[in-house]
Amino acid sequence: MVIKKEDIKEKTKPGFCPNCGAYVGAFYSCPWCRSKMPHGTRLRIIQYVSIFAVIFGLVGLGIYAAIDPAPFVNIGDIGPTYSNGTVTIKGHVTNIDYRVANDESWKTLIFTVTDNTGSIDVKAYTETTDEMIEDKNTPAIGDDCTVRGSIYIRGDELYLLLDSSNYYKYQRPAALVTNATELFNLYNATPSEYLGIRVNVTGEVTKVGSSYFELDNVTRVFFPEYVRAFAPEVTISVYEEDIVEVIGFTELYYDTLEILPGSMYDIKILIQGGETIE
Amino acid sequence: MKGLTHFMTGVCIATFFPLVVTAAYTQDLIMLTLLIPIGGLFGYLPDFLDFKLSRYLEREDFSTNPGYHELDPWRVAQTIVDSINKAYESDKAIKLKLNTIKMPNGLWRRYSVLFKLKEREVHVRIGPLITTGLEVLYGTEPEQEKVAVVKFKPKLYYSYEDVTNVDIWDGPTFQFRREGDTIFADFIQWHRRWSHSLTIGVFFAFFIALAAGYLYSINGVLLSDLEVLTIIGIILGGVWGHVIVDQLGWLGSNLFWPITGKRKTGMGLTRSMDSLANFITTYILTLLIIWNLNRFAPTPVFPWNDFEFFMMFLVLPIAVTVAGVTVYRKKQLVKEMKSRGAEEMEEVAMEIAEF
Amino acid sequence: MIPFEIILICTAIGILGVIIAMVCSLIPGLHIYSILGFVVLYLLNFESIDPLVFASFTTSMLIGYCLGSCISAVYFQTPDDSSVFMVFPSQKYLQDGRGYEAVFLTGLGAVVGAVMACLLIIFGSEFLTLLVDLLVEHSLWIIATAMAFVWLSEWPKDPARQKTRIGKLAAAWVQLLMGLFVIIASGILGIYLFFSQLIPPERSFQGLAAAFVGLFAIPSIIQNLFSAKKDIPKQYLGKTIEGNTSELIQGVAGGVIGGSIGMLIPSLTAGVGNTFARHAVAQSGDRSFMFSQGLSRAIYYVGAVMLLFIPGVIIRRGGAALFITMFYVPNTYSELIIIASTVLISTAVGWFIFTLIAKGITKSIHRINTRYVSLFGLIVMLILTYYMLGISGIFILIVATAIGYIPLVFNTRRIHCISVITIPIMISMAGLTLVVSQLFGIA
Repeated sequence: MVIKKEDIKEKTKPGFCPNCGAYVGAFYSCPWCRSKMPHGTRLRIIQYVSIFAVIFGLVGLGIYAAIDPAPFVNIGDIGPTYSNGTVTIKGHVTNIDYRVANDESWKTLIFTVTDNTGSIDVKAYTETTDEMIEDKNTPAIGDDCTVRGSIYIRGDELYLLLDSSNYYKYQRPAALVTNATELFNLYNATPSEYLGIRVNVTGEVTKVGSSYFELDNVTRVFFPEYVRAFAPEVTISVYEEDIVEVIGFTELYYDTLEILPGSMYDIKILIQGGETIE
Repeated sequence: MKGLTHFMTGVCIATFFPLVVTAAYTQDLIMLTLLIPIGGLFGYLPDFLDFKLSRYLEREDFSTNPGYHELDPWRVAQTIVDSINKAYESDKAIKLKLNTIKMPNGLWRRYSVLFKLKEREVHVRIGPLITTGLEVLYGTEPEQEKVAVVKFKPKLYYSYEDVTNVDIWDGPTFQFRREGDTIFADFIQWHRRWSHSLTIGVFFAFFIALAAGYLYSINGVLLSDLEVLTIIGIILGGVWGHVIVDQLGWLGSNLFWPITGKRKTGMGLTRSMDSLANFITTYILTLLIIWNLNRFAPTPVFPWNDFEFFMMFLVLPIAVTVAGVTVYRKKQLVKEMKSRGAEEMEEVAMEIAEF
Repeated sequence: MIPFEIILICTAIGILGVIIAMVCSLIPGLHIYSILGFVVLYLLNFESIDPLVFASFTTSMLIGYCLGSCISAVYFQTPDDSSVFMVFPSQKYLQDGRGYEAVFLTGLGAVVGAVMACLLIIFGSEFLTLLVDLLVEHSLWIIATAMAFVWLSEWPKDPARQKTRIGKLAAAWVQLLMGLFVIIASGILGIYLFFSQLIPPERSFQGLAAAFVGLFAIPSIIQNLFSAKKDIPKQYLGKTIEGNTSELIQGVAGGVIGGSIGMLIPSLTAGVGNTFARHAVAQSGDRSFMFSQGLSRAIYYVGAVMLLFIPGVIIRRGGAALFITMFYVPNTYSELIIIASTVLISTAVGWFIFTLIAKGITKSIHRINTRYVSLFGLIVMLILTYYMLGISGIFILIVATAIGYIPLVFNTRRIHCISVITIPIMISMAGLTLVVSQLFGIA
């Protein structure tokens, strides 16, 4: 049956078949008479253009993202509007805190990174902490480090969340090689020069405590829980009269010069002797 | 049952396997939890295969065309009768497609097909407009009643629904095949032909388990017996859950394809579109999922025991809902009866007055 | 103890917030999170703003958005028939001269949703906390399940009248495969947004703004702009609305389920929740659909932010909660009550303003060329995006628009674009961030 042109009142309206007048909508062709719709070509072009735009757009975005996926920022500039941002900071480690559940079902490593504009806590949760320990890529006080992570803000709490061991890179300054007594003397002469530096010290163990020992009666070596946790396969038993070598960071514990190693890997017993430490 | 119900059945069955639920609490195993949506996928898969694959592979011999402007029921009825008669004359099954009528503004023109088996007649009526949401707009029927009645020759057997409404999207199909002197009419013949069989579930389960085992072995990991059984159980549970639930309806399935060749009629206990049945089923499935998540958690979070939990969240709410719906439907029925009664009384009164 | 003046200020600022948001939301496509981002930047100049006052302002703006966007969604989405595959109920009502009915129903749903969200949080906070506690560890598979169902349940809409079987299959599967394409493309966009820094770091809190505007808002506006001018008939300003009990029950049930899913599960919005809800309650009928849309959105937005105020736990869902926690974390029951009362007062005032605005626009919409409105909306969004995020924001917006346009021209679901959030979140939950970052060259 042929539909006359004049009979088709709705023929020219968009979405209606120009041949038989049936309503088609946005489809290419009329399901009744199979005539091509006037907008069919336009629709096809838009479809192809959209697909190409998506593909090229995403490729372009990928190239753009790869240029600087995590830009450097000054720690002091980080504020509330940085929430969820992926950034890289550069500074040195000034504090380390390690928390672990009683049943060891979770652990959290929090270390503070300071640059000349401010400080920020960097947090690593269980998986990342385990990864860092396994990679022997754990922070130590005094490390010059570059950390990439995402800014997490919740009220007053602001920290950089570290997602992978690969995103913590550090450089340890060269250690001053000396012995415990000499270090003590040097410190007494010019305290400011010998605090906050990295040292490689040998000495005789003169006193042993639960998480420290003294060298030559003048210098303290402190190994908190994280120092042990960072080297889980290392068990060192230090006794009095042992000769040990310690690499660590110098700080003050009350009036006593103290060395803080990064992990138990930084403590070596050169000559064995003395009581077992607990 | 509706798609979501089948999907949730697959998900629910998967959560009965502790291995996949407890994996959520161990970072190294967390990917195992993705077996749960895979269970849902296989729960949905039979309908997916049919509605997105099988039906497009059917080649129809006849298709109805009432005409967008003409809305001619006689053309439709004649086409249906031609296909029945042709099926009687030839040996092969004849397939008929009932095309829908799309209208502007998101509407469709419904037409209805009724097989009167004793009289050997096909009745076709052009109906009102309906929305894509299947809301019927009464009062939009064609001004002049458009009904066609055409006779067909052979004896017809049709056991599904009385009236077939041709509504939205892609229309329904029929297959007419001759067996002896009778033409058997199959509604949407491509549906549940092979996809809704218990045998295909077994095939999928073993195939996927084999594939998983092989892929893991390439990476140097051997799946344990428990893991393999879990995969098989989840997939089998999803597919079989779907097939068994569909057997509660009218259409039935071909349960042992390829051993059996035809669809077996269902138990006729429920209709797939019943909204209350679907809602209650989905709710129960969701509750069971939550129950499983809680009981397999290292530390269950809910302070209630199982009896309290099911009383509070299952028995009571469903009882209240069913009671409420029953009361509401009864009230509606009484209202309708009363209004009908009133109308009839009015008609009688008018007749008496005229007389 | 919260000073009484603060309570009064919260109430006053709540009323102000709902009015401002409602007026801004009349601009088609403008999302409340874009406006809130702008507000946050402005307020950062003032150190002495009480965070609870800011929280009240934020929450009331959400309500204003839920109401105001009903009007723009119904009246200003008017593409011609050659560019739409599927006509939404609101567009249908507009063509039938019943636009006011559509606006009213959706708005009423929003009001009911806001009140229900309030009551749900206040009286159900203990249960909700337990539920969130239980579900949070299972978020990975729950999100995957939701996304899987959204794709699997999509119905091919081609009439399948092609001559060949392959033709029919191809026509159906083009739609479905383009849905998958949208999921993957949005996911890739999300990976770049989440795992690298595309925008200036100091504007990271608005990281998703450009993507969301591009994916969900601008495509419709472009469609409006470039389709033939459609005459909108004069609208009828009715005093009553037809409906029945079962539609109301379906609407409420669908809205509550959809909104709750969006509220409780991270990264799933009310849109995904609605897909489930419609199937769960076997929703049919346009009235229940529109009502449930308004209701679910309100429950999602308002409920998500109020979850943050449950004392003793920190449940942060949705962008508004993110903005609030940039300044403080609420922790007392009184703060919850103050926010709840702000919600209720804002809703009441908002409803009054909403009906006035809706009636005003209804009377004159047949005289308005909606393409100019769309053009205005487009310009505002471009300016806002550039101001907030710079040239990189515009770049993201363009790419996101291209992705968001695919559903419109291939007749697939727009909700697939939500993969911009769900895929990166799933990757993160699965512990695959580094692997994926290396794959995409952004490690």
